[in-house]
Amino acid sequence: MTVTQPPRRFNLGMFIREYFFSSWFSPFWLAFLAYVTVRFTINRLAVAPIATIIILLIWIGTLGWMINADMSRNHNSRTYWLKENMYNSVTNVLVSLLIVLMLSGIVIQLWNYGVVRASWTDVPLGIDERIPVDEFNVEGVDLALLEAGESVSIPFEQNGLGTDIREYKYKIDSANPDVVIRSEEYIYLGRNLFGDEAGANWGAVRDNFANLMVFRFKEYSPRLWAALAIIAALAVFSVLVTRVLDPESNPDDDVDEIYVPGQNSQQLSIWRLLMNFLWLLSPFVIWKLLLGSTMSGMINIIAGAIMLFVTLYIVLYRRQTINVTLLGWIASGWLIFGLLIAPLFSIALRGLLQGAGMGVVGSINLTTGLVIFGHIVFGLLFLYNFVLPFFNGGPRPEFKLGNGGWLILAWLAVLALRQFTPEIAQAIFFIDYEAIEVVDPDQTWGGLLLSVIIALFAIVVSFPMGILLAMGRRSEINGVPWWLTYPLAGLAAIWFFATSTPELFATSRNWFESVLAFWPIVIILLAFALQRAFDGNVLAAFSTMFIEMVRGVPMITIIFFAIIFVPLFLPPGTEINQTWRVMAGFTFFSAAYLAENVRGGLQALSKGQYEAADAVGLSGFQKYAYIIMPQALRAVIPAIVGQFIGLFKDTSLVFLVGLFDLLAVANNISGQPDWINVRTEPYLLLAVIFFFGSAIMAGYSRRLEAQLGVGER
Amino acid sequence: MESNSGISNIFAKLFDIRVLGVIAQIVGAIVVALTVSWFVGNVAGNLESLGEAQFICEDGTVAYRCAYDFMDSAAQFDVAETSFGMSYDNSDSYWRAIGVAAVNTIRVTIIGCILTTILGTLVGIARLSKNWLVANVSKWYVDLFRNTPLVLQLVFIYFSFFLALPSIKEAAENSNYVFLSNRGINYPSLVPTESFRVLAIFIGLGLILAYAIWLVLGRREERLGGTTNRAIWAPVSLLLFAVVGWFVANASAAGNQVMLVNNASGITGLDNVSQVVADRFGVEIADLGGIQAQVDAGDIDQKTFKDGRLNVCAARGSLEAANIDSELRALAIPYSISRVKDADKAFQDYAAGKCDVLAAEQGFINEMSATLEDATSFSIVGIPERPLRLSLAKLEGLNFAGGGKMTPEFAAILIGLVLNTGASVGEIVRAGIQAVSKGQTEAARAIGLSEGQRLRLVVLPQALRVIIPPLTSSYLNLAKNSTLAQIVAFPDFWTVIFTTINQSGRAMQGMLLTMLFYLTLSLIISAFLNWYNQRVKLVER
Amino acid sequence: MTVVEKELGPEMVVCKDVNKWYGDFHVLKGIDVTVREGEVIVILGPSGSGKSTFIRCINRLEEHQQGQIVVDGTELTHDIRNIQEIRREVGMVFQQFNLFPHLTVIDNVTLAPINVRKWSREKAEEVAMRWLDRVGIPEQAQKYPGQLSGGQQQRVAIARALAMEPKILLFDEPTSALDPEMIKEVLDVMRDLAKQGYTIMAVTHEMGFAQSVADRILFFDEGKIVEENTPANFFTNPKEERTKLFLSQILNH
Repeated sequence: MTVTQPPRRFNLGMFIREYFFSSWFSPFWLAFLAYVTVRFTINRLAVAPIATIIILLIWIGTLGWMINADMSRNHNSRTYWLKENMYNSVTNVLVSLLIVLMLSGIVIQLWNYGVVRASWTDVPLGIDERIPVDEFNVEGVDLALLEAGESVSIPFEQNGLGTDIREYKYKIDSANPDVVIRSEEYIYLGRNLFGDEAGANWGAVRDNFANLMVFRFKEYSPRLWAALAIIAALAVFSVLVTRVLDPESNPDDDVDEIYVPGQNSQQLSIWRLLMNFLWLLSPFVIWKLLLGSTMSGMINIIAGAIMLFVTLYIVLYRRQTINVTLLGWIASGWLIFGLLIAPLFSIALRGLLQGAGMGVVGSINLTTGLVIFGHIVFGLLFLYNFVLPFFNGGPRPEFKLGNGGWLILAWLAVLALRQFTPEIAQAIFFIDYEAIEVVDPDQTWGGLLLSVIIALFAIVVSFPMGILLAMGRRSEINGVPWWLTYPLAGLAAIWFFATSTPELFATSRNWFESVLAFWPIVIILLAFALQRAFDGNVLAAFSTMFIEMVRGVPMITIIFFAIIFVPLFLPPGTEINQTWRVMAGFTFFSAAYLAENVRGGLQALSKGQYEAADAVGLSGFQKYAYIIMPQALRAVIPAIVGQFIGLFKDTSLVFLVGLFDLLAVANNISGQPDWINVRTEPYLLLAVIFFFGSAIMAGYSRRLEAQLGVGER
Repeated sequence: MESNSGISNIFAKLFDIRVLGVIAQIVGAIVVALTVSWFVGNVAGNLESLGEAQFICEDGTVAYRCAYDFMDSAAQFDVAETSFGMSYDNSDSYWRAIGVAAVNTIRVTIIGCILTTILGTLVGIARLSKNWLVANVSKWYVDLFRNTPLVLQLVFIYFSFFLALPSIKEAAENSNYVFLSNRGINYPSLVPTESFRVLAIFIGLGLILAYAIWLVLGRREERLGGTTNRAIWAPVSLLLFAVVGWFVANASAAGNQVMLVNNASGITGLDNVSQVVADRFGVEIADLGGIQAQVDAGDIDQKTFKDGRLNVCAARGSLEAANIDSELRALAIPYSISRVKDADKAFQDYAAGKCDVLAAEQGFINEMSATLEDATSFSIVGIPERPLRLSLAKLEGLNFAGGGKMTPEFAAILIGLVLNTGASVGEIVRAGIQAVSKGQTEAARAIGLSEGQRLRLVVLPQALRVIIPPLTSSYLNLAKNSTLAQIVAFPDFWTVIFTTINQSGRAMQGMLLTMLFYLTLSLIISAFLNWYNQRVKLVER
Repeated sequence: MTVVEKELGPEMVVCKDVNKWYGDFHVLKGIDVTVREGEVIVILGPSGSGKSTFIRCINRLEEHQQGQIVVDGTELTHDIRNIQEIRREVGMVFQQFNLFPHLTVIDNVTLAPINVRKWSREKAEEVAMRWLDRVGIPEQAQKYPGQLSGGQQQRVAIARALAMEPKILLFDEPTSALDPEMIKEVLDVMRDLAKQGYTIMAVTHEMGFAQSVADRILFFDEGKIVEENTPANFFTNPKEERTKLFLSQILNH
């Protein structure tokens, strides 16, 4: 393609004025730049003559081509591109050359380091061999030299790409002159990326690849493969569903036919229901595979799956909001029942703790939580159907069994399954109590696996916490009035002034402790802050305090805080793994940042949406569940993916507390006897893993953003 | 509205949204209080079972107020590096150790923020360059550093770069001024001498005057219109003061520092040193520079060279040593300075005839020269004292002397933080510049503003408004990420707290101090930038 | 021009001495209005006169601080049950439509009937389709609001308000954000509703609509009702000087 140029005569004076004397400093700048470029080119010519000459020729050639096209006003698309993007001023002509030379230097260096001079063998050093002198016959080694006390080294093996970094070293044994010792040695090991003779030692990485990926979990590799197979099968199934079994209609299609209720209702196909269900269930199953499971744990999984499926069936497939009064009454009965029977209640309480993001506490495991989730659904139903209508005076829903029948059946099934204690299961099925060996995550999880587990766990569990914190911080419900706060705070302060201060003051050892004795004044200050900054809104104050505290301190201290304080916060005697503690720390950290993201999403929503929801009479819960949250969360998905990338990168910190994440394994390699001081190579591999991991996720996030933009029109 | 009886009226009040709000608040407060009290109870229980060693007082009793008493005892660990010449040794208290470390953190943070701003601005502008290569190379840089963990960047910079650098000896052979070795970076530095105070006062006055000129002329411009060239007059006045200050400082310093010379050597001052040394070698003054080459070539043997060159005795690290060093370097003659541990030792060496010249303070030389046997055969000659001396790093024995030095630990954490944060700041700057719409540029040109005016009056105020809030969080991130110094063993606040926790077993106390410190640091940084943001906003209006 | 006298039912909205302040700014200064069933009230007035604020007080989007508002026999107090009760019976159409962009048109319309009225989905969809048919866009049911024109969106918003079978309809400048050619389609729907005997309170700048449809016109200025009149008298024979000034300004531009 030729670009038509207006006829123009080249004017040298104009050219010089424009490019060299456009301002008073440009001649100085150009002189300086030219000097740097020439010096650098000469330098590169000495180091890598051929590459430099080729680059120079290309530079001169393209420059000439461009100038020619420009002068003859006959640009084609390539010369025009060159003119616009590389050679658009004298400065850029020089800068382009400089950068290409610099890049070529880096690429050549990396190529030499990573390929030409690299070693690829992962065979560790062999043991020394002793050869009697009279049998000694090695090509290229002069025995006389050895006998003179010298040592001779010859390359160990050749690989396809360059010389190997190992050599055989021959030497007469100083203790026994009749024997030649042949030892294997490294030539370049442990040297740096920049030296001339150094090359990468990829063998160390090859040797430790399994360690870097899963660390000691490689002993349980069948479970790992099973987990991967589940994900792969689900992925294939999803593609099948979305492309073949139930292709979704394109929202851009014209859907001008009249909507007939019941006929072309947008009900989810059973395939999609199944797909959603399996995806939601898969984390729990994979969790069991990774951690191992007792029989009761597996029963929990089944029970939880039933609850999950029926809930999804009603909400997604039949597209009913769960509004079944009968169910509400049953749920209320269950709650009262649960309150009366202590064990059940304790499960509920611990489940609540878990739901609050406490991680897996004590003896509770995650799948018990799944069942407890079912019970919580019942609890919410109770609230929704029984308590809320009572409060807002709305019409009592019709008495109806239809949808609820399924939930009741599911609930009964779960209750029945829960009776299958391990002992009973054992008695009936003659199977082991421990169905899948339970492992200690501190010892077995590691490498990339650990990083992914921590990041995923933290983002998923922190999600509800973050939403609650964001809503808490933004909540505008009426605060505690000042006439309640101040007297209460005053009374408390006076009480503590009377009981604590005199003693502290009397026993204080210096002025600082004397001042500290008057600590109850803090209560009054806090009350004042609560009223002034938050209008007495305790929820907003607490959420804000939590968020800002966590955001104000470094990640490292959060991790150590979790390591040190989580066991202190729990009842005395509770044992808790390092891994769980770290995960709890990551979860809190993530929740605070997520809360800010969600808050951003909430703020971006127009006020009209809140008003419209109010105007059609939705209750507060309905307003958030159906109108506000779906839109706010959709808007912050890119931010959440960004946060997940951040978490994924931050997991490289956990080696500081003794977990074997990627970086810990990489650091350990340099301590292995075969690979002493090999550090750079595993680091480079880590960089590649993190770079592509993050870049792929970021790309996915951008795509998602674009897709969501379509739906949102 | 139907009329209510007393009880149903009270009942109805329960559904008042204001009352409901308060009830929700109270329930929320109770839940929070219960949770906290549960935690506190657990902590108390756990501490009991952990033992009371945490809160033991000097008199052996146990009280919570004694939680930090241990901090007064000797730390007994080393802090590898201190900032601004602060002194610390392992018999100092934990408080001192933590204080020194806190200053280290602040130093990293401040230098890091400044360098990050510079780098980020350059990268942000480069991302928008019209040169395709420049734009893309800076994009690759940003992508690389944003998609890999900072921890990884740090271990790479520290282990794979700094610790893999050549040894000191090799580094000294390969370069002249800046030495990169596995023991850190050594570079030339400017050392202020005593008379620098005089210069500093002049520069200070010059700054005040320049600012005053700037304001006065600026007001004049506003009142009368036209231009007053204040951008020229203000710096010129500053420069004038600096130049005058330089000479005044030189004059005021004359005679502070002197050298003691043996009359027999023929030296009467710095002006004839060249002649004396040239005579010793039997060459012209102009040829003295070639002596070193002849020694290297073997034409002159080491013995002759060592006897012939000018030998100076001085105390290590003293200003006299730095002064005579740079004066002699300027003369381009062969010389050596034997730096010994203090002035007394230097004098002993001199008295023993090990050197031609002793450089020391005037008072010291006056006092000591009286003790010499043959006092008349010595004379005292002044050394010109410049307010600022260039101090070059030079290999002496196994280490570098003179110049400035950065340890590999400090360099690694600083470079890591700057490169990493610089990538984010680059993106922020780019977004800020792009946020100013093209229409603004067109409008500015349409009303006839020059390019400089357009940038200063239209683009910058608007871009800054977009840039400052995320920039604040970048600075905060840098401050918080400085805790990763632990990985490269740079003794920042967290690293030393960590050592303290490990050594004393007082985890709670240490963690509380840490949170307090970093929350305060965060607050200060955000308060500062909020204040600046307010100003930018005002300018904008 | 003759005004057709309607058969007016019982009182639907009774406002007595309604006052409201934004901080120190007195927005509503003692408004007294009574609206009877089947009445169509149009509220006119210069911008900033408090007319929108007043209409938003009736379903508690804004809180009045003094006086009494009784809607269909229920007083607006802080009692959450009363507020919900009133919101169920009062439909509202906004200037900016405020459709829910993440829901299809049919979901927008059925959301409240299902969740607030507790109808079954089938019933709610049937009613919704009936209303979409009435406002003339049944074929758009499965589209998202973003795919519709402004006029269509506003008609969906009207259908959404009607689907709750409200006793009173509030219109808050429903045509201000529309292009001129879209205004007519929305006004036609409103005219239609007025004919069918809905109780309507509308804030609008459409003088033609006010003239032809309204039973009464309230003229607001500086937070007060300056004039209350029939449309015929209001436009031809206003009582107050302020009204004359207002009319001269808008009719002569």
